[in-house]
Amino acid sequence: MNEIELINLAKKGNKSAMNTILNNNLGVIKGYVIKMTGDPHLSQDIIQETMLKAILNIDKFEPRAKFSTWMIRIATNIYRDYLRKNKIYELTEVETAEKYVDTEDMVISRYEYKEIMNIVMKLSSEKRAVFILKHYYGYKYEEISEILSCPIGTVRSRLHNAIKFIIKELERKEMI
Amino acid sequence: MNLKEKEEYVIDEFYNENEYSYKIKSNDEECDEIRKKLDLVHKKLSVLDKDFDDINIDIMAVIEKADEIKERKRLKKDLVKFVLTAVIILSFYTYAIVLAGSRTFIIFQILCTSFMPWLIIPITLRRRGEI
Repeated sequence: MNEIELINLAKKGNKSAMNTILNNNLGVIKGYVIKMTGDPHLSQDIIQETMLKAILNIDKFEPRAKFSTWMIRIATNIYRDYLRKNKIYELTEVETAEKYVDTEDMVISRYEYKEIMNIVMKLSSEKRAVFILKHYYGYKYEEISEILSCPIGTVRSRLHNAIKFIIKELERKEMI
Repeated sequence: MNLKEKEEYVIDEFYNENEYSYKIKSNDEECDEIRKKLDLVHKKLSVLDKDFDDINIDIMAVIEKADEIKERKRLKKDLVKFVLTAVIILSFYTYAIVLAGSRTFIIFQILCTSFMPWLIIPITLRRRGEI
């Protein structure tokens, strides 16, 4: 059964269809939110709220865009509200909730993960969102501008600034 | 053509968005240097691309919660409808008593209570599909 059929069933109140759609899109939304927040605990709350809003507003969803795109838009708005309410503009320390067995490779991997996540977290949330959507999900400028409700020129300049900043930081930390 | 323009061109090219940058002669050393850096950055950034198994979402629980919220909203809506209807009927009664006097109103009410069931019961049964 394709996504549109599942969505139509979910709109009619079919819980199993709703469960399938959300399960199919969980990986995308999880990856996006964790990269945006850098905090697994906060991510869990945002993902749950995103799903809740998606279920409550499924009737408003129009299948001209992908369901995952619509969920990313919801998650972005929830995160924006969270930042506004809590007046958080930058996250200084990145949390990793993984339970590593500290072998040498894993220590290096964890160190790199933290360092790179810290660099990404230094970007403003707007630049971070554009960068993540473009770099990790390959959305077109036009699609990102729709998701974030901003002009294409702004999307482009945010991406360029973000990439230049990341290159500068990686060079400063001698990681490239 | 300055370095900034080259950077912008190569970044757009890297992300397959060339239509947004000026066409430049992009096969010089500076452009190649930027391309190399972008490739390195791409490799480094792939470290963030991994699964987070420790984030567990109980989707069915979220669906149940959404159902509860929907039900609460529906009940609230019904309550508002009921209160509004009651206010309208009571206002109509008051207005009718003032206009026609209490005696006429009581006769009207007796007629209503006698004949209304003959109207309401068939409509309800038809809605339920029992007729």
